[in-house]
Amino acid sequence: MGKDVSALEIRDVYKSFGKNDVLKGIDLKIEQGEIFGFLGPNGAGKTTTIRVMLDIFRANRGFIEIFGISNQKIRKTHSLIGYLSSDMALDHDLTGKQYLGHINSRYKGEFMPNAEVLSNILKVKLSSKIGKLSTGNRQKIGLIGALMHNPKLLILDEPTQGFDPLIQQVFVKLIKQYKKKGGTVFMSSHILAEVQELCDRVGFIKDGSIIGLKTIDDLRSSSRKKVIISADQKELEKIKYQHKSLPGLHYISESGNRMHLGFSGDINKLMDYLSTKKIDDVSIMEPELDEIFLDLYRKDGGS
Amino acid sequence: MRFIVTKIIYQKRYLILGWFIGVLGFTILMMYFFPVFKNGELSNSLKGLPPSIEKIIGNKASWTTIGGYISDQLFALRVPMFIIILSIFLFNSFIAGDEKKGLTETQLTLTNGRTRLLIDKVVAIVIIVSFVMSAVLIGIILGDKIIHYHYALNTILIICTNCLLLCLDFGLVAFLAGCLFGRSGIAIGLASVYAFGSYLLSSMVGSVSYLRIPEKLSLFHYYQNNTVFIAKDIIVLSVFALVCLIIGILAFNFRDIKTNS
Repeated sequence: MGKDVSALEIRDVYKSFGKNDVLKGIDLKIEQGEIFGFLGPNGAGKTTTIRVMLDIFRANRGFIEIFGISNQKIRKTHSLIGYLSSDMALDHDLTGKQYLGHINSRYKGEFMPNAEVLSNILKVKLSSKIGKLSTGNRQKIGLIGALMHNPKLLILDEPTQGFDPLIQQVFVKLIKQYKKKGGTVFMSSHILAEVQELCDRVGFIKDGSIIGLKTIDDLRSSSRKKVIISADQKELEKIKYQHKSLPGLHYISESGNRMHLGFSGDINKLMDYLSTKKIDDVSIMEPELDEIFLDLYRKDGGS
Repeated sequence: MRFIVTKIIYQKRYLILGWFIGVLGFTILMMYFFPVFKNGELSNSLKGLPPSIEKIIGNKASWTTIGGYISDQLFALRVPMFIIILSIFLFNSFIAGDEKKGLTETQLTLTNGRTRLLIDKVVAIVIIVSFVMSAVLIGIILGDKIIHYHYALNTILIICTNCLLLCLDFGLVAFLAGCLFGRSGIAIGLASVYAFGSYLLSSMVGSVSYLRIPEKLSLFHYYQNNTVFIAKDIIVLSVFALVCLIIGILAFNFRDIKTNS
């Protein structure tokens, strides 16, 4: 498998269930070593995309390749993949150790030491029956199962649902370590802070179509920055009525002697504009991913 | 051994043991009763019963020989009934049942191709059902020793093979329905209705002449619960199994897997 091959390539994939078109021509390319965040509201088609990638659902049209191999050659592709979903079904009548032992034999390797190390990091008892574990602990077993055989591609569908905040931090560390070793991650998540911290690039899906595909940095730079100005009331009034003279500057709100504005465009023009005003203080902040996310969906006609 | 095969056998170890002991005990018990049947004590007490009730109890004439007794009291209904229930239960549980629980999705993400996954499951179930069926064989041999009769091993083997094929065939109906629809209710329903309908048709065909043609659709038509080995019947039962297997695998390969969300 060459280094120049994409880890995952999805071309023009359509999927419908009866008359319900769920995926409408998905195109995505994930390079090796990349952490890709897949974002979208409920019902947008995130999980369906993942299930089509894993050949659990059969696409009506289109091609999917995992490291250059068709996704329908499951035995080849799935040996390269580690998969975890938020509601992954595990054999309840097996202990964690037995379940992971079966995975170990499935991958014909000596991966149990990895599983032991991961179970210590994630603080989960492998001797208990899976059926008796809490949702979070079951999820941890699933995560160990996805990581223990050192897959080349991790596919994660809402992976941290059920994890407490401490384990979410551990999860972030594990994924960062995995990336350092050259692993690729395709991750759908609702936890934007997690995506912001982990991902190199994000894709936005809405109603079965990709509506945006950007690096986290691009996304921030092209998105509306938060500008907070402190000045006396008279000056604030002036800015409020004249702010439209600078394209890209939007009035948001005002409280006391502080005004909140949004700005998208060349930051130097903003600095020039502000230099003509009598202001006491100014803060310019990058937008949080959740704000970008909401902005993007609003622009695309979402609610 | 293959991953799924060992996992299924391990997961069902208590069920397998329970069924094995149960079937073994039942067979030994039935064998123990043979002298009572043979000496006519039971036949005398059944005198005067309506013929329809007598039919359910079995053919009294066959009770005088150990071969006839085994054929009539064990293999006509009781053993097939037990093993058919087990077979349908297992095929449903590991095909439609696993899919309903979302386990099929998980299994497919672990480098199992769809065809291989199904074949591994079928192999595991055939091993389990054959093992439980062997309890009948062992039970007859042990029973023979207890009541001091002798029944040739090869003849027991012929009946057991016939019975095993019949039971697997009904299980494979559940397999086929599970592969086609992925729904447990449909799989169990279809297999049970077919098994019950088959038995009803075959038991009534002697007294209702117009059932002779439709009765050929019953798998019991091809089932010999005696020492007679009819190659044609074995072929029909084997072909039926093979057809269910092939259609099931094809259907499973072309459809979406049901998930638990």
